[in-house]
Amino acid sequence: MVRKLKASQARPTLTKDAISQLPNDLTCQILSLLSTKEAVKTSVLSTRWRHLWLSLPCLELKSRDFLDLKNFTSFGDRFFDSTRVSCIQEVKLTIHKKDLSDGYFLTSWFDAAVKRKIQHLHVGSYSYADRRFNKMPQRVYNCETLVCLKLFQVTLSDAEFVSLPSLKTMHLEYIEFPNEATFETLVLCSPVLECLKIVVASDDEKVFRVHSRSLKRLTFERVSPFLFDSAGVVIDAPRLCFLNINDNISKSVIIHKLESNAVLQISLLGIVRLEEFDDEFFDDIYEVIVSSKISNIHKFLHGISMARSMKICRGTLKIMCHYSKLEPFPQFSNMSYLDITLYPRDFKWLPAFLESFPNLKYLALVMVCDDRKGGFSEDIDQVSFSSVPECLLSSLEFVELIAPVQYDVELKLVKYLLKNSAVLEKLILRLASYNSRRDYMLKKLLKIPRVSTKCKVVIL
Amino acid sequence: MSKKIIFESSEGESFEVDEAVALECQTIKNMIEDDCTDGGIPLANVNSATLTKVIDYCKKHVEAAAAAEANAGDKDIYGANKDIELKTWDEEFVKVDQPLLFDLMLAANFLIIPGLLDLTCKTMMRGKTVLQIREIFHIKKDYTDAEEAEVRKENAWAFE
Repeated sequence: MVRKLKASQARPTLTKDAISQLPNDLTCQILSLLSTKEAVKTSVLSTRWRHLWLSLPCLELKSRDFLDLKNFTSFGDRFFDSTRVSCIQEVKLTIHKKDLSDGYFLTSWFDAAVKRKIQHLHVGSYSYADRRFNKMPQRVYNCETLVCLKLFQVTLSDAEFVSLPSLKTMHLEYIEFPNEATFETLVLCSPVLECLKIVVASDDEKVFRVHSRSLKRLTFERVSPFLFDSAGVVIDAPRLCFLNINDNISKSVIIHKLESNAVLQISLLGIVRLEEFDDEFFDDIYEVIVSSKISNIHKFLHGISMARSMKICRGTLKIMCHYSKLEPFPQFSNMSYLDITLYPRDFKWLPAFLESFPNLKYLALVMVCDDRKGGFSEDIDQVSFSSVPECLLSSLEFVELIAPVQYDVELKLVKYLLKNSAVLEKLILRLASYNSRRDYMLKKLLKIPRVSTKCKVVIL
Repeated sequence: MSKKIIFESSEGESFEVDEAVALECQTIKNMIEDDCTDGGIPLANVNSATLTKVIDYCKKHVEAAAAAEANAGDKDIYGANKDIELKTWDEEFVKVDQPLLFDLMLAANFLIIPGLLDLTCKTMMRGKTVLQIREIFHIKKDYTDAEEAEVRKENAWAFE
C-alpha cells in the first residue's frame, strides 16, 4: 500500500550520481552514441567529465561549426593526440570553403589517428569551383587498420608507398590525382578491397586503371560536357560481381573478363561521342564511328558476356545494335535479367538483339518518348517484327513494359510478345495514365491471343 | 518443445524463457555452451522489474528476426517496413523512468546484449541539455565559476 502511494506521488528518479561512477568504457559508449557536439558539451558537467570526450572512439567535425580555421585546428589538435592510447574508430571531417587551406593540420591528425588504429576515415572539402582542395597527407596511404576510406573533393599526393592491408571500402569522389599511377597504386595495394566507388572530376582527362584481385563491387561515374581524347578506363577485376559504370567521356573502355553471374548497370556513351553531335539524325555517320571503335567495343562486350543481369541505357543499346550489324554479337548465355531503356523507334532492333540472350527469363523495357521527333511517328508505326528469338520460345517468363501509350507500335510489340512467348508467365504493363489512347489500347489488349496458356497480363 | 532456461532475479523470483530468447544474451550464450545452466541462472545484480523488461526485449527481437527470415524473399517490399516497426517498438520500449533505464543499461552491459546496450546508452543523454543531465543524474558541479568558464571557452563551438 505504501509502495503504491509512493509511486503515484512522483516518478522514481535516480538517487545518486551513479553515472559518474560507471566504468570508463561504458561512459565512452554513452558518449559515442551522442553527436560529437553533445559529447563535447558533457565536459562542463564536472571535473570527471572534462576530458572524457577526448577518448571518444568516433568524431565528426565540420569546420563551419567553428568560428574560424584556427579554432577548428586547435580543437582538432587536442583530440588527435598521438600519446593517448584509446582507439579512434571513426573520423568524419568536413572542411568548408572559407576554411580551405593546404590541409597542413591534417598531417599530425592522421599520424595520431593511424597510431590509434583508425578504421573509418571520411574527409570531404566543399570548395565549389575554385578547386583549392585540401591536400591529403601521405600518411593516409599507410594504415594497418583502416577498413573504410571515403574522400570527397580533396587533392591526393603522389602515392609512392601504399599499404592498406585491411581496406575494404574506398570512395573517391571528385579527387584531384597528381598522376594516373596514384589511383592505380591505391587500388593495387589494397589487397582486400571489395567495394570501390569513383566519381571522376569533370575536367580530369586521365586513364583510370582498376586492377584488383579482390574487388567485388565497383561504381564508376564519369560524366561531363567536356571531351578528352586521352580519357579512358581499364577494369581488370576478375571477382567483380557488381559493376555500375556511367561514363560519357572515356574514349577507351577495356573490361577484362568478369566473374560469371555479375550484375551490370551500363551507360557508356564516351566511346562514340562527338562534340555537339546529334546522333539521332545521322545513322550512317554513327555507324562509321562505331566501326572505327569496333575492336574496343568487341573487347568490352566479351569482357561482360558472362554476366547474369544487365541494365543498359538507350545510347548503349544503340552502340550494341550498330555493332551487331558489323560484327557477330557475343552470346550472353548466363544472362537471365535484362533491363533496357529505349525509344519506340528502337523497337525494330529488339528481335535481333534478343537473339544474343538465349536464356533470358526477365525482360524490362522502359520506353521513353522521343519528343524531338513528332514527324517520326509514322515511320515508327511501320516497324514490323519478323524473327522470333530463342529466348521467347524457351525461357522468357516475365516481361515488364513501361509505355507512354502514344504509338501504335507499342501495341504491336505487346501483340508480338504475347503471340510468340511460349513460356511467358506474366506480362506487366505500366501504362501512362494521362493519355486518351489508354482506353483504346486497353480494349485492343484484351483481344490479343496468348500462346502461353498460363500467361497473366497485369495492367498498372 | 524448445529447451527452457530459468533466470533468477536479485529478489529470488524465477523467470522461465525459451533457450532462443536467452541466447540473445552473449553471457548466457557462453554459459549454455559450457553447459552450466542447470538449476537456473542466478542474476544477483538484476532485479525483477529490469529482468522482465530485458526478457521482453529479447523475445521481441527473436520474433522479429524469425519474421524477417521468413519474409526474406519479399524483403525489398516488406523489409523496410519491418525495420521501421521494430525501431518504433524499441523507441517505445525505452520510454521508461530514468532508474529503470539505468538498470536496463547495466543489465545489457552485464548480460552482453549489444542491441539493448546501444539503445539504452543512446537514450541516456541524447537531446538533453547540460543542466538537465546534471539534474537527472545528480552530477555535482565541482568546477569553480572560473574553471567552468574556461572549459566553455576551450570547447566554445559546442556551446554555440
